[in-house]
Amino acid sequence: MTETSYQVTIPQETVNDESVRIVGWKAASGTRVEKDQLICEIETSKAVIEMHAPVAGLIEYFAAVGDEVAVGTALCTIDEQSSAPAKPMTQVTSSTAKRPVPTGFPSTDYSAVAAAPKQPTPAALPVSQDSEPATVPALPPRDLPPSRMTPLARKVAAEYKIDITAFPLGSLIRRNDVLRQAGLPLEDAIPPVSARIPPPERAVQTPVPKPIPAVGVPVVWKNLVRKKVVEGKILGAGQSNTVQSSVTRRVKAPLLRARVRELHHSEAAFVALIVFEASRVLLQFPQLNALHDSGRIGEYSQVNINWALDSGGNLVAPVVKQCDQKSLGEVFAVMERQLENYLDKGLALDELTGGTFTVSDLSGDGICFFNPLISQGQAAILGVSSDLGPNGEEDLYLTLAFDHQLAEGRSAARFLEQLGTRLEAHSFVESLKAPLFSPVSDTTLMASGVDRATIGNDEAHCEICQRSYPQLQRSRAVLLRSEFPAGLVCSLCVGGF
Amino acid sequence: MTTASATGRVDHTEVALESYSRAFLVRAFEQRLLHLFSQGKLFGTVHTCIGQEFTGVAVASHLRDGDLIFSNHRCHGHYLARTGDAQGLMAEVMGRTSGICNGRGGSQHICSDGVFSNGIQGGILPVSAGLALAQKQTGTGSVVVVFIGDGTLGEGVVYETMNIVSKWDLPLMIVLENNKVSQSTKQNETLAGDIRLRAEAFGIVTFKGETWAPEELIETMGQALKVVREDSRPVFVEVDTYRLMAHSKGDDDRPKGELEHFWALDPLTKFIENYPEQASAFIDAAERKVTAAVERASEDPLTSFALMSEDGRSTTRWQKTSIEGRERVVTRIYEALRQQLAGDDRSIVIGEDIEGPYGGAFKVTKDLSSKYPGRVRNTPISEAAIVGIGNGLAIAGMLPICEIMFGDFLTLAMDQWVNHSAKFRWMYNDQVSVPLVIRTPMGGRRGYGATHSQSLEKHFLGLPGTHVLAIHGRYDPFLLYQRLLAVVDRPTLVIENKVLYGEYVTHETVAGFWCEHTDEDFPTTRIRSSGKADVTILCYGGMLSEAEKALNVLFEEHEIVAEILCPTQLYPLDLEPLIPSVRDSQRVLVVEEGQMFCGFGAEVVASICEACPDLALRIRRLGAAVRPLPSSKPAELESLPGVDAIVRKCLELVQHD
Repeated sequence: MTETSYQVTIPQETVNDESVRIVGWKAASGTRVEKDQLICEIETSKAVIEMHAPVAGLIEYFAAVGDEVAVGTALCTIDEQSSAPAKPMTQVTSSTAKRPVPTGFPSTDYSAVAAAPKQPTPAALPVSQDSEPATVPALPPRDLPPSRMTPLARKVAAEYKIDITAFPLGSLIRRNDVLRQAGLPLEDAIPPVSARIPPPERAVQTPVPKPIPAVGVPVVWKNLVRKKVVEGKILGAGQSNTVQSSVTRRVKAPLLRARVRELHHSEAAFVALIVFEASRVLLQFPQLNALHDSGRIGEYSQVNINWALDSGGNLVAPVVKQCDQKSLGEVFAVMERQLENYLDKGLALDELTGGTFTVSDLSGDGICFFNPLISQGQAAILGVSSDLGPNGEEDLYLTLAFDHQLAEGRSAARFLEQLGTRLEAHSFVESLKAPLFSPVSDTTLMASGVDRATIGNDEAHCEICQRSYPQLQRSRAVLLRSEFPAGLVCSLCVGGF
Repeated sequence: MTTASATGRVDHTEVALESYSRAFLVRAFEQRLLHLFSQGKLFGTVHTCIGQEFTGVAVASHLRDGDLIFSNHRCHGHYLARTGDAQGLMAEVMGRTSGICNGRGGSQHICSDGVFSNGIQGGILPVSAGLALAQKQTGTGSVVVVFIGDGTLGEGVVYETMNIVSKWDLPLMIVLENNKVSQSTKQNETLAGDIRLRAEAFGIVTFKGETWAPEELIETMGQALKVVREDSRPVFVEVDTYRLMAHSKGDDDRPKGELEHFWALDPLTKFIENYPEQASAFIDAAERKVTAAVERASEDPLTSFALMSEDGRSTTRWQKTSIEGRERVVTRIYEALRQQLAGDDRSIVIGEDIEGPYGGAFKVTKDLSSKYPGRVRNTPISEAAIVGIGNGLAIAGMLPICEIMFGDFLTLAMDQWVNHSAKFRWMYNDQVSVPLVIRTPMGGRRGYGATHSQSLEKHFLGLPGTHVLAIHGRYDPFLLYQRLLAVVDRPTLVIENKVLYGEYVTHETVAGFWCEHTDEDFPTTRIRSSGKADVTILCYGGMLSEAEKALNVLFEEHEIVAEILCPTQLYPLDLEPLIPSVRDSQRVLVVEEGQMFCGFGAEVVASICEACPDLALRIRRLGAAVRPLPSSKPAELESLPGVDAIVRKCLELVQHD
């Protein structure tokens, strides 16, 4: 049986559009799709367009929902053989290069386009056990009525500076739709009908004890600001579903902060390095990139890291999507943009939703230890604090709070050990001075003196993310020879070194 | 007709002899039925006309091809006199597949060769009038004969019909067989006044005859039919007679002496006495024919529906509703009727006060009577006769559209709807169809009080073979009527909620929602948004406007997204378009304007629960308050389901347990 990999490119639908936005994936990356199956919905300036599979096979993609993808570039590849790919995909080497369409398949086959109904962006990432059935309106976008918000939804959107244009045309937007898009807990959600018999958790739930004020001291009660109430609910929800435990590790990285600052003064730079490294380590610890539900573990199929950001009295946690697919430079670039949006026009809905793990860095605030709280729908949070060691040098303290239902102290400790080792390494290596925060490109690679390696060995792997050569193939990444770390590094991890 | 011979005996003309031969056939046939019954070979019962044979025989001797007969429960004699088809009738009464109605009708519901019968007494009169109107309207020159008994005079629809047939000069001969007894009650206990004066009061020419003088009776019938045929006007013939056997079986308590007296008078008894050889020949021939009929029928299979299957239907397809222009509901119905009258000569509109310039209580027919004279007709206040005439027109191949001024009055026509409209096609083994359309306004909010504001459609739902539709303003009533009138092949009741008449027909609905409908003849409308609804509101007709208002309030004030499903076809109800929404929301509110008990909502909810055994559905119903409707505006509005009540019920549905 021969195996061919086909590349589905973004069609040019309108003269105005240089790029399109991914509205929703209809097939999970790495799964098999059938010919003509709806795989993706993309949004141009005029319409939402359905992309259908030109052939049956294994679909692979990297763009996330909300990503802008240039017209003419690859949207995804479909490997005609349904089993896991075992041969190099010679047609595909880079995510940005324009590729000719393989012969024998006219380009129209790759973008079987129909005026398609618009679909609300899925609120959460697909979890590996079950996915929610999509309710697809039977109307092309031009026939959809204008979106409509309830008064409450308008109020909440204004309060959280939510960009409401991100809702699909024809949406009926309620308070909870805004909250959901903002990654906030829902309020007074309508319960599912199947829950007619109260679930056991609810039945045995102990009532929240009424606080008893100090005897004899008059109390002046004031309502908390709404944001604080919401924040409390998110964290409370995280607590109620987890059995929280934590471990802390000291990391000796005396020069790390200074080295990063030499290159970038941005507030986001230091935490970007931690997010980047954490995303690599998380690949080895799927139980920390997951959620728990009634005796089941739901492992997320993406690594999307929330980073706590509080520069203006309003704590938010924007998400860096698919961190594990981004170079350090790309991670940093995303976070810089989010920081700007936070300070300026407000974060878009997209930037707040879909997190699977959280990093909270208080090390720049003189905090030597804190106990971070796991967010709703997640299994762990990394807290970063610092203190001066005996010799007056800064030591980092990494605290991982994790759900003991899904992991245990030893695996948490191993996670911190790996992460710590990586961070420690940075402070001793000269190569940090290399063009650290620029996206990967062939030019960068050449400039940093790393040779392109042609490897055919399945056991070869990236020293940074540990992904094997076949896994990297599916992500269209290549392995490069590296001096530090010694060995091979993949093109997803190499940027910034 | 007859001449006296030298011996003093009467010599019979050929016609008369033929009549005796037919009468002996009827006698032999029915005596055999009684015999078969006593042997347990008949299912049900039989009503014989033994002693009365010459009524039918006398009438039949003057009928021509194309003339029609409508008979009653005691119909064997009329049918055999007209057709001589002992074989077909015997098989029918014996419940065999070779029966004239495939064993569906039996003894009292027959249809063959222009002879109909139904087991309802007075109700057959307006149906016959409808048949006669069809003859007159299409100029066939044929006449219609209807047979009733003296007992039938107790039923009001007889008088409704006599009034109309006289006023409209319809070619109908009403033959009343006066055997002086109902089932068991003597006439003098129940009948006041004079029989023929009843008809004469309506200006109908009357005739009188008796079965004890067959030749004279034949002659009288000839004269009467001549009037009907030549003058195109109704006549009424009273025939004195005597039923020699029980009404049905074993239910005769008349004195033995009385029976003996009439047996002695019986013309067939006398014929046997006077002409034994001729009689013997007639009887032998009749017996042979009847015996052959029984033998053949006995070999045929009994009718059974073990293999009957339901019609399948294709999957629902939805399309966005798009209505051009902006016209009121009343105008759209008018336009559909106008085009129908213009394009199809078979169409006739009848009802009370529908002619112009008045043009109907709700102005639907406006000026149609002047545009299509003779085909848009005012009737007296006779709802049973209106629908009955519609039934007759329909089985005669016309396309009647009856207007019942207020839905409340439809109860007056209930017998026609239940026992005639709904039954003809099926019990006559599909030999006729009943493309009858009844339009009627239902509903309140107009202050008309307890008897002019009801929503009584539930009482008309569930009759196999009928359709009940309800229009609304989000699907063009013009299209609905246009389609209906193009495809109608069964009695169809269309409910027009009276608040709709003034509303505009449009697809525009609550902001953020849109209307779509199924691709069926009588579509279900769905008012929906792009997301999943929390609640499914199921309603029809006039309730749609209230449900729409509730949709808005639920979203704006309560953060609840509902969607509405509004079928136009209430019966038979197609669940398929309803189920996906119900599956999504799992919360269903059914709103109906009438009383809920044993109503549409109860039926739909039960059907949905049966169709979705896997779902834990939450259900609410909403209907009118359990009391008659008051006239006072606030009191009436409090009694009917409106936007506030709908919102309240939806909130109940989404509340936590």
